[in-house]
Amino acid sequence: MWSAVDRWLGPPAPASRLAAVRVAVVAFALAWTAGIASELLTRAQLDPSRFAPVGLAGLFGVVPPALVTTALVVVFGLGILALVGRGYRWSAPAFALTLTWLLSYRNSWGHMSHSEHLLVLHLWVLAFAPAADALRLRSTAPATAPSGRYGWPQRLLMVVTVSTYVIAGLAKLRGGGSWISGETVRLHVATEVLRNDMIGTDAALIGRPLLPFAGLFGAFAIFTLVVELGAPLAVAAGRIRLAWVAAVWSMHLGIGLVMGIGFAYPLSGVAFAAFVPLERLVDWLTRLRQRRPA
Amino acid sequence: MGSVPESPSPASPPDAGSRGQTLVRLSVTALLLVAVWMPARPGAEDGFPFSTYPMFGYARTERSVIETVVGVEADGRRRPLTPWHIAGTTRAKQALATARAAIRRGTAADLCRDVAARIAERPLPADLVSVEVVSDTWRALDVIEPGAGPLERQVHARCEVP
Repeated sequence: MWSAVDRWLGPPAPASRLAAVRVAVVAFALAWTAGIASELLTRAQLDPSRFAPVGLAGLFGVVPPALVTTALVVVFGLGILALVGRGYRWSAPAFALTLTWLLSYRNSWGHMSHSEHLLVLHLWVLAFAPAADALRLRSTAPATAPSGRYGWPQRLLMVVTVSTYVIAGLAKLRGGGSWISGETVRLHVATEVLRNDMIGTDAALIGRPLLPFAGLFGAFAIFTLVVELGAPLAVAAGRIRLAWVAAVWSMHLGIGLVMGIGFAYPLSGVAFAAFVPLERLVDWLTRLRQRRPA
Repeated sequence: MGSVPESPSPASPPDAGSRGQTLVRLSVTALLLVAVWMPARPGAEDGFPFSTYPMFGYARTERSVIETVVGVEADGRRRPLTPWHIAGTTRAKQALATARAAIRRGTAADLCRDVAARIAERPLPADLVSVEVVSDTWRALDVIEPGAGPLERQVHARCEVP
């Protein structure tokens, strides 16, 4: 029994697969932080009465804007170290910790963005994994054999990811039968379109023209529930896994087009990096580099 | 970039040592899953980074109340404002959350003055003379009807653009 559990928890995987996931997730985190930096600094100057702390932001409360700027600089420094795999044992946990505080702070001003939760969870898993045993800058050590110590963190990333989708699916079931019928989805879309109108934006590109077709929203609702509640299937290998990744990505694309709400991490595909054999991309890039004339 | 050696060999059969390793992996996996699933229990609050993932999951009625800030032209026509004018942010949802929070805390007049000052600092194409912090009640599906308006408008604060 133990060997079966161990094989499931930590299937042998190459170090380069986990390392490629590290590079993808940390690179996304850095790009995302760069993208929100300006807006974060604006929020840091808001009236402290609007501060409603979530997560680690409750530890220090409202801080001077200069401290937020400093934290941003520290995050970029640590993130670059984690990206290239240098000092990984301390740079990766420190990066995860600082970024968790920074994003907690960002989400503590009255509106919670649910596109950052999974990113932070992934960073924490990677922070304590041997994710820099390959793809490490200026390392000349030889390649290692596939091992369960690389497969286990990848499995953790997968079960955490599918858990978040199942939780979201169960929350919708609690909303009652109107959710499954599609009526609730249609009203959510109508409200998002209204909000966009009231704020003078047109982010919900195809939401308004679809609203007259009530039947479509029933199909959207069922598709969403199948994808979210069916997420555990993605832990299985092969085509089922790839089919689920394609389906969940399509769901996020649909939400973006219909409601104007973009979940950048899953839409980028990086949220699902642990579900695909990324080491093949690494091998291909390595071969390409070797073929290039000196 | 390269890689470093690792041990033990993945192909070695499970023994006492690997049983301990399996237990550690099992325990850490279980602890992480408990943390991730904890917010899924009924009545739990949303948090960060552990969430209830409530997005679009809750039931909606046909009527939607939108709390926001609008600009008013000299002829009384109302114009939407940008997220920056409403809350000094580029994010639409953050701007609407700011208006909602101000109304609920009874600080709509303060927000109104801040918005008016931002309009004076960075004028909009429309010639706005005043600002209103409002709760508009809509029949949500009316949004597809041309020229539709809110069923009811409650003005919480009104102030002049300097």
